[in-house]
Amino acid sequence: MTQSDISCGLEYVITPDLQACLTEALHYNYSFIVAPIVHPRFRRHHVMNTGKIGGFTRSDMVLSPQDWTTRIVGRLSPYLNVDSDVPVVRQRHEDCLNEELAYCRGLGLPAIMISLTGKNNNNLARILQSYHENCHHPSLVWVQVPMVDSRSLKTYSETDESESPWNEPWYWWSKFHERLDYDKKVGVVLELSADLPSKEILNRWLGEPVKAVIVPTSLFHTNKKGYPVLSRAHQEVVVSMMEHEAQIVVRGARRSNVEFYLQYVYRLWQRKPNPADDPMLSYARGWEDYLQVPLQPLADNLDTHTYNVFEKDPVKYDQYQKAIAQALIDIGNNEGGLNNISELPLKDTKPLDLDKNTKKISGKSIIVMVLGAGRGPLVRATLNAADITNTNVKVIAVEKNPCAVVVLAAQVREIWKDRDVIVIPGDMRYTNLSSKADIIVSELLGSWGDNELSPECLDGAAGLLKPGGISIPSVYKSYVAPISSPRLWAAAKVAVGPTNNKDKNLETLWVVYMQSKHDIAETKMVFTFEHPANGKTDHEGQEMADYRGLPLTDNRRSSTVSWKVEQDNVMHGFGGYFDCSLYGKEMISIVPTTHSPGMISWFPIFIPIKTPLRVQKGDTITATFWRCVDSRRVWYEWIVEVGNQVTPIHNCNGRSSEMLL
Amino acid sequence: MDNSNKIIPPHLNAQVYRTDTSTNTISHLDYLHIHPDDGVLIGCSELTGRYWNGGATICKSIEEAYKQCNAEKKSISLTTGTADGCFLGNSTKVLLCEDNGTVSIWSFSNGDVWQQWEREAFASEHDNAVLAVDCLESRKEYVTSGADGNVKVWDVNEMLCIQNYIMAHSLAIYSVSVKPKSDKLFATGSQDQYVTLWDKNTDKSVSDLAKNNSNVRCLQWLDENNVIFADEGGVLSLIDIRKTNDIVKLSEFPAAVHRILIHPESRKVAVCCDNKIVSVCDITTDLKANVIYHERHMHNNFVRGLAWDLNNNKTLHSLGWDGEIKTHKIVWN
Repeated sequence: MTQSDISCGLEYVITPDLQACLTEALHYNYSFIVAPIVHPRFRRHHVMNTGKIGGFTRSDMVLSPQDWTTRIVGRLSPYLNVDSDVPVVRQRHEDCLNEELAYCRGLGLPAIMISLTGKNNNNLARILQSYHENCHHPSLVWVQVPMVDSRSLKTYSETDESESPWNEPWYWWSKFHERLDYDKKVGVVLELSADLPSKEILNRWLGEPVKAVIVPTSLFHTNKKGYPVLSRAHQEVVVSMMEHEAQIVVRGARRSNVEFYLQYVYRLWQRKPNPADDPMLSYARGWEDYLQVPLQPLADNLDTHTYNVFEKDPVKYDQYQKAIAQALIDIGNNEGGLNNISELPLKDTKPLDLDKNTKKISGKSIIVMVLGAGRGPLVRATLNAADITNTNVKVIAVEKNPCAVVVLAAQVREIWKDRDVIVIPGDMRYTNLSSKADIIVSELLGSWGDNELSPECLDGAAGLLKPGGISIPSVYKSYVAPISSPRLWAAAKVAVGPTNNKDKNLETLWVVYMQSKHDIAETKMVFTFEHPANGKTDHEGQEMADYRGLPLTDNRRSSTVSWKVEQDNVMHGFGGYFDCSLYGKEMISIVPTTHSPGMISWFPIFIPIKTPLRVQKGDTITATFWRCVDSRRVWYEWIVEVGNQVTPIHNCNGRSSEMLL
Repeated sequence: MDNSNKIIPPHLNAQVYRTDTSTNTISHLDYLHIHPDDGVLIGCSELTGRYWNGGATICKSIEEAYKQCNAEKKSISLTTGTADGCFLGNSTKVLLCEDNGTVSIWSFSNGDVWQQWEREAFASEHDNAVLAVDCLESRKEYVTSGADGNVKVWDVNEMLCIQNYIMAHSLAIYSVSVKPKSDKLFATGSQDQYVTLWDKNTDKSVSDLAKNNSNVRCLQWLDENNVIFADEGGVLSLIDIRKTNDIVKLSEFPAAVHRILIHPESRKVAVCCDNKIVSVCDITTDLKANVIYHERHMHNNFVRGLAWDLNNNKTLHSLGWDGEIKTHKIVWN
C-alpha cells in the first residue's frame, strides 16, 4: 500500500489557478481537492444582468471532465444562509444556492460541501431534497459541522464543564439528517477542534455517516525533526474516524510543507490494526455496513459456495472439536457405571491403526450423530476428537440437502473408508433410527442464535438421542443492544430485499457487518434455549409428550429488556448477537464483549425500528421481543417504548418477515 | 499571410481553451483609499475569470486614478484577489489583505533604477481570506480580520502577530473598525451575526455589542460612543456602547449593505450595497438617517469601494465591479 491508497484531500480556500492547484495537490499524492465553486467574495443577484463581467464563475473548461467528476469536491459559497431570520435574505440566498447547485449538477461533482452553522436548517433540507429529486446522478452532499459550537463554548467556559457546546453541533447535524429521512447521499464532515470532547461524544459521532474529517493545520505542532505532528488524542480520533471509512481533508494556512501533512496522515493510517492480525477484519473487508437477508437453511438448501465459505472458519470447528472431545472423555469416564455406551458390533473388520493403542475399548463405540452435516466439517471434527481421546466412535451423518449428501457419501467412500461413518439422507426432524446417539452435534445457529430454527430442528430430532445423551450445543442465548446508525437504517429502508418495500424492510432482520453504528447502551440477553429441551408441563405438572413420545416443547418466547440512556441520541434499532455453550466450558460467541477471537462465521444482526426515536440522557428504553410460532413458520415481533413515545408493533403476525418450518 | 496555424479545428475547442494561458484580466475594483498627502490606493480582483488573481494600483491623485484604474499593468500584482488594504503611514507603503490568508507589506523604492513596488514582508497566518484591516497605531500596529473567524493584531515593523484571537467569531469576520482616538479598542462584525468589542491588551473579547438577525457586513465608529453597522438584510443600525440593549434601526436598503464610510468631520455616512447605488445619509441628533444623496446610474455593476475626498469637502469617490471610478458631489448645509 502506498500513500495514494488512502483518500486524503487538500482544501483550497481560494483557487487562483484551478489547474495549478489540482496539479499541485495530485503531485503531493492528495486524492482530491476541496475548492469553491464560485469565488467566495463574488456577490450577485441571481437574475442580474452582469454586463461586461461575464458569468458568475470561471469556465469549467479549464479542467477535463474526468477531473471534475473524480477530483473536485465543490464548496458552496460560505455566506449563504437559506434559513436566515430575515425573509429577504432567505429568499436571495435561496436563489443563489439553487444557482450554485444547478451549476454543480452540470459539473457532475462527486460531492458538494455545505456548512451547518446553527440549528435552523429546515429550508436547506428542503432545497437539498428537491435537488436530489431532480438529479439523475446526484452528487453526495457533505455537510460540514464543527466539533464544538465555539459561541456556546464562550458562554459556558467560565461557568461549568457543561457538555452542551459539544452536543450542540451533533444536534444540528442529527436533526438536519432526520429531516432528510436519513438520506444515504448525505453525510457529515467533522471539523476537528483543538480541544476534544468526552469519549462518549466522540463515539456517538462514530455512529454517524462521517464522510470526512477536516484536520486544520493549526492543530499540528512541530516535532524535534521539524515535521508537523498531532497530539496523541487527536491521532486517536483521526485513526478511529479513518477506520470508519472517513476521508481526511487538510485545511488551513500552510504552516508546513503540505506534503508533510499527507505523509503524517499516511503514517497514522499504517499504525491502525493490521487485518492480517485479525481474520475477521480481513474477511469482512468490503462487507462493512452491507445488508444481507439472513439465510434460511431449513427452507432452502445451501449451495456449495456457501458451504465453502463457512467451512473456512478457523475457530468455530476447533471449538466444536474440543467440545466433542470433552464429551467423549466424559462419556468414557462414566462408562463403567452406566450403560450409555452402545454395544453394536464394529462394522469394519479391518483393524484400525489406532486400535494398537491398548487403552482403546474395543467392541464398544460411542455413537455420535452429526445433524445437518453439510459437507462434513463436523464429521471430520468428530473423527479428530475420537483420535485425540482414543475413543471408538460411530459417526452417523444426517443431512437433508441432496447435494451435500453426494459430497458426504464420496468422502465416506474415498477418505473415511477405514472409519465408521454412515450417511443418512433426510430431514433430522422426521428421521427415525433404531440406534440412538450418545452425542448429537449440530451447527444450526444463525446470527441471532435461534433465528435459523435450531430449536425446532433439534426438538424434532430429540428422538435420535438416548435418554441422558449429550447435545452439542447445549445452550444458546440471543442478545440485543439499542444502537444509533443512520447509515444502516437508511440502507435497510431502501434495500432490495425479499420484500423491496420500505415498511416491510424495516420489519426484517438484516445480517450485516456493522461498522457505522454507536451503541446507545450495553448488550442484554433476550432468549435462551437449552438442549435436550424439556417438554412443557400440563396443569397437573406432568411433562407433555407428542404422538412420537417426544417431549412437547414450547419454543415461543417473549422477553422485555430495558436500558438507561446515558447520552442524547437517536435510536434506529438494535444490534443482535448470540453466544452458545457447546459443551462443558467450550463456548462460541459473537457478543461484542465476549466475541470468540478470529471466528468469522457470523456477522451480527440489525433489527430496525420503523421510525427512529430520539432519546435523551436519563430516559429509559424498554423493548419487548416475541418469538412466535405456528404450524408452518416462526417469526419475531418487537416494540419499543421511550418515555411517552412508543413504536407500533413490528412485524405483526409475521407480515414482513418469517422463517419457514 | 499564412493563417493556417491560427485556425483551430472546432472539435478541439475545449482542449485549446484548457491549455491557453494568455488571457489575464483583473476587472473587479474592490476598494479605494486616499492618503492625505498624495496617494490613492485601489485594490482589485478577478472573481469570475480563469484566474482569480488580483492587484493594487497606487496613484498620485484621484485624477490619475481615473486613468490608471483600468490599466492592465498594476503597481502590485497578487496571485489572489484582495478584499481590503491600507496605507501604512506614508503614501509609499501599503498593507494588502489577500484572499489566500496572506497579509503583505509593499513599499515603493524611489531612488532605485527600477522604480517599482516591492514586497517588504508578509505573513500567511490567517486560515482563510483576510477580509478587513484597520489601523491601531499608525506605522506600528494594525488589526486584520478573516474569513477564518480569527482576528490578529500585527506589529507591522517586525511583521509579527502580537495578539491572536482564534475563533474570535464562529464565522467570517467581514469588518473591523478601531475606535476613534483609541489605540487599543476596536469592534468587529461577523457573519455569525455578532458585533463584538475588543481590547488588544486582553485575550478575550470585552463584550458583545449586538446580536443581529443576519450577517453583519460592515461597521464603523460614528464617534467614540456609537458604532454604525449594516447587514445582509440591508439594515443600517446604530449602537451606543454605553447602552447596548437598545439598537437603533436607522434605515433599510433594498440589498445587502457592502460598505459604509463615515465622513471624518460630519455625521454623514456613505453607503454602498450589493447593487449599483451610491447613497449618503445624514445621521440626525435624534438618531434618524435621512437620505441626502442617491445615485443609481453612474455605475454599471455592484459598487464596492468608497472614499471621501480629503481636499474637496462634500465630495465622495466610489468604485465598483464595473471597473470604473466615479465622483459624487454631495450637497448639505
